[in-house]
Amino acid sequence: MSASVRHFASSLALVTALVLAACGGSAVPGRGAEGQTGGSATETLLIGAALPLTGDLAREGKQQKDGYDLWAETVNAKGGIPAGGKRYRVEMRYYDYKSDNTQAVKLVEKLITEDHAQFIFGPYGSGATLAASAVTDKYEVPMLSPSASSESVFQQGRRYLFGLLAPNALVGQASIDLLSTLPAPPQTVAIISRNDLFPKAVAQSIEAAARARGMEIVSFEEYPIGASDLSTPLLTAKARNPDVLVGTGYTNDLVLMTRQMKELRFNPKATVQTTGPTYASYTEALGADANYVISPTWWAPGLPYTDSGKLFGSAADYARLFQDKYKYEVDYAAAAAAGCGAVLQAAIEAAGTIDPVRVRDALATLEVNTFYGPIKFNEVGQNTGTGITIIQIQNGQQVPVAPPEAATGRLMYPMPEWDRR
Amino acid sequence: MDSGLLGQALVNGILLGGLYALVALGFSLVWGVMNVINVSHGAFVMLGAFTTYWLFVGAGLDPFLGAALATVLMFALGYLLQKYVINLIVRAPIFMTLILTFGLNLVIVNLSIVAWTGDVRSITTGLSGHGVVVGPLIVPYLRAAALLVALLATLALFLFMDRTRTGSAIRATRMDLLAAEGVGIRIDYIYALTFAIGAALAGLAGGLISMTLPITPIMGLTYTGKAFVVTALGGLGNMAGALVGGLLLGVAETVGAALLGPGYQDAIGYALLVLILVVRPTGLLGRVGYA
Repeated sequence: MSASVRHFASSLALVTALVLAACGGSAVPGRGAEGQTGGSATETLLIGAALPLTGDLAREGKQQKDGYDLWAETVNAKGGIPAGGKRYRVEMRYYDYKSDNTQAVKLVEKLITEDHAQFIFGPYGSGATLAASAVTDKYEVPMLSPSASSESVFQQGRRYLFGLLAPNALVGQASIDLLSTLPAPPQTVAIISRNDLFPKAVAQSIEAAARARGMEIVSFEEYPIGASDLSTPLLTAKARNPDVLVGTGYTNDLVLMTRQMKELRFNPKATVQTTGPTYASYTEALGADANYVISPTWWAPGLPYTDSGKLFGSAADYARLFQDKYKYEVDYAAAAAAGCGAVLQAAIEAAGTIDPVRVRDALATLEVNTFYGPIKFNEVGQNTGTGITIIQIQNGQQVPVAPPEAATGRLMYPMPEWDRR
Repeated sequence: MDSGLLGQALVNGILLGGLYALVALGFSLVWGVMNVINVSHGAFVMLGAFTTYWLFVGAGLDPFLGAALATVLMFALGYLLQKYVINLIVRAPIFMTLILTFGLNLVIVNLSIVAWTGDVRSITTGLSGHGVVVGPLIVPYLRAAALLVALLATLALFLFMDRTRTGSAIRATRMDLLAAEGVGIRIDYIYALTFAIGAALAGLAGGLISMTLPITPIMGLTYTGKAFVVTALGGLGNMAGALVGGLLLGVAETVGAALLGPGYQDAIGYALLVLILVVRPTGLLGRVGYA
């Protein structure tokens, strides 16, 4: 082996190491949180959250933080949380875990042991929440999660973990229920899933629901994280000529999927995608090509939920407040984030104390109406009070089409072929 | 295996490979001439993509014109970065160049996230998603145009390197630094120019990518990785090598996915890399000692 080749090989090793290192990074404290002082509040309630404020999940982390902050500001402006004759002013403290789940665990522990946070709001996603819940259970500190929905996260016997999002199984069920009530319901389903914890869990829940309704799964393809071409799974599915194409992944993947469906003239009668179409950036990226895509979601601004003026008012009021403050459209994640605050507040008021163990017990039996929806946790701590909403993109707008009480429009089915749009 | 599916996978592989080749071209040039492995190359691709995107959204500029403008802007940025930053370590051990460009990558990417958020974006024009049907195969217009531009850029670089005095000076610098200095070639200028050309090619590739694929500020490192694989496959500092390596990687990814399942897409690319390094460590078109 010549010197230059050895040189080349060692360079290869170095680049590989550096590229891998980019996914990691070390811990530095994030920015301290704000929150306005609110009149008569006397004591401070410290709530901690580790969030991915930089790295791959920076966008999701920012949205979640905005939701937490909006709740903290609103509750402080209303005089804080009353409990046991005192009023508590909320202070948020954040650390940036740089989209690295192992860092999330360490930072949640730091929040509890060094900063003495009395409650924890969840990190982003099922993976990080699962990891962090070991720590919150160890120290008996309640953690409320606005972004974990995988059943596996909640089936570890954790007592202090509560999730606002409805379980994944309901996501699949709601999507298939809507399609199966059509006059000429679809018979065949093809599924393309990102090979990743959450997208795969949703894909499997849709698969199970479709089978239960007597639909045939004609193909189930998985693509790797970060795929820059989805033509192969799309062509495989297209060859089976399915009535419904289900695509799971994140916004990046699903924008690519829809773009390539058009390129390849793939025309199923319906396209169901999650999660991506509920983000405004999806519609902005695809323009008119985003139309007719169906997506299950946990929350939408058009839903008829309200807290009767106690905190934010209705779902629409919250969406308006959020848009005014942060200048971008709210989605389910940022709504569930503020929902965590609303739920914690209700539990503290019900318990009459900020003692974490008693607040935990109050959470377990809580039944309350919030702007996010009716809240009721099941035995493993997942909120089953708020149902799944199905939206369809129509003329660039997210239109709720199911369940009937939340629907503001009708499902357009079958969707027109690409050539006829 | 359905032959129609395989044929379409081949077409998509070639179209994707053209973009990989263009990304790798500048990366390979800088590495070959300056012995700098530019980890921030992907960040330049991202900046080119976002320049094109913002010109399209903000000024309504046609993305092909936008990509041309992005090329020019990235040339200027590359020139300045080399002159004032990269030049500090250009003769240091290669590990220093990795650390510096890795840091540069972090700075560019995170500033971009702060400025533009991490949102996914894409340029959608009237042509997006449309294509020409050839028998059982579909060739999307924009991807085909991107491949054509990539081929033209490779040809242009080849002619520049082969036919001009400046190109000869760059080649001379690559072959023997001391001798090049001895005959009066201004090495600092050649280095800045080479890095600028590398950045310009990255910017052009980014502009083309923004028309066909979704873009985010964190997209860059994927492309740095692809560029590295392509360079290793095709041979270092070799323009035809970048083209061959790029097309090979694109086709291997899509056809391999069609044969083995899409889950193997990335594994196939890297398996190919390992195979080439074992069988032919200089890359397919590389020559021993040329690196």
